[in-house]
Amino acid sequence: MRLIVVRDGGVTGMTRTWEADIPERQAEKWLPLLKTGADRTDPAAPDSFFYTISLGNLTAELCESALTPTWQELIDLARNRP
Amino acid sequence: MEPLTHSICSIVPPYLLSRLAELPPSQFPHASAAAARTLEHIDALQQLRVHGVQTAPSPARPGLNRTISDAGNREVLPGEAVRREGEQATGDAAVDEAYDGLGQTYALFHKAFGRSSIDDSGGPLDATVHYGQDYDNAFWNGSRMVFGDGDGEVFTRFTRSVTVIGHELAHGFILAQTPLQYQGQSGALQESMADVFGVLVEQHLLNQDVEGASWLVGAGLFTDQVQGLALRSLKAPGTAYDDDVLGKDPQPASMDAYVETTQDRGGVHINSGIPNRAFYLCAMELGGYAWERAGRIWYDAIVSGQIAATYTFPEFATLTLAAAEARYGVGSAEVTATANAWRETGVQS
Repeated sequence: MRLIVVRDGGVTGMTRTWEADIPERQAEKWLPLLKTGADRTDPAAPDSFFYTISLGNLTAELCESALTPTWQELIDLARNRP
Repeated sequence: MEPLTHSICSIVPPYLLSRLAELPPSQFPHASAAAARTLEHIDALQQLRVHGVQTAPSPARPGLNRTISDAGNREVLPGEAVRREGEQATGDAAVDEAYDGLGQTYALFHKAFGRSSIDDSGGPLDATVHYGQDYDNAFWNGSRMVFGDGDGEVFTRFTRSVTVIGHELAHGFILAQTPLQYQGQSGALQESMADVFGVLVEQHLLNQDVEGASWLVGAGLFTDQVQGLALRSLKAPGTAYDDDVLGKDPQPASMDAYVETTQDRGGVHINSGIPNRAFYLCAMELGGYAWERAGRIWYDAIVSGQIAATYTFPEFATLTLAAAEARYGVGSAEVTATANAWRETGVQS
């Protein structure tokens, strides 16, 4: 299943995109997380990042401060980081 | 792109700048002059750092109360406090650059505008460095500045640029003074204000007039693997970088090129190019030190209490005209320069 992480914002204003193919069995573990949806409210953190994370046909939008370690783990999968 | 193995501050490789600066001006007037200016700019910054003018322990000043913390390359805040006001340099470049940059930002606001810290009440200035791993960003979290070390391939550490330190601290000043929403045009206004005060911090530090200034935000952040001078140019939005990997600086320079986008919270770092250039044009028409008149007009407008959450570029333009009239008088050169700047950028007719 295709995992796409788009990170925009930041003081640089540059958008970065990372993609990876996740085996179906592994992807299933992440689908409930994606279904929790969006957290776009980040009232007082100018220049922080904003993430749009897609897995299969599910998409979640998150401000940086809403990233839990679980979200971070998923992002790192796309970035191919340990 | 190969990872960097050296640690010399680089915008464009110095040898390339030197070569450009030596081109015959008759053939390449812009490239040679621009390269020479950039070399002077780098030299001036390096002189300050090498000779320790800014890293010498400064006597504690009333209202200046800095604390730099180290996140230890984890995404935790605030991290461990490693340098407090009046303490000696630590030898950790990110810690000491942040400490100096906070002081230099404080100095601009205090000396040019009579402001006591970003809250005008002598509030503490806090920063965290070494945030995250390969973290390509600096941000204001609502109460402190946070700086990453960069990935080493595209970006070096974000404390390297005093304009970025000034930019982040200016966000604190702007949030203290205005309810601007961080989205779309009001967000781009906020970004532009932060860029304006970011470059003013550097100009004030280096005692540069409008002609001598680089008008760049984030010069020195790119590794020499990147084709680019800086993140943004107030003088020529859209020209700061043009790189195979990063693409081209997307900033418009006037309203007819305004970018409608859903990314970057509606292009807050993109469309900020328009009011950025208006500030540059206003400052250039007035000449001298940009913080003295153009900066004063922008400062007066921001602290006026008139800015609404969803303020637009034309509304802010009108406010700066009112601020210029209030301080310098109807029909003054300052009012004319302000009006010309907004007209030339297409914000007002």
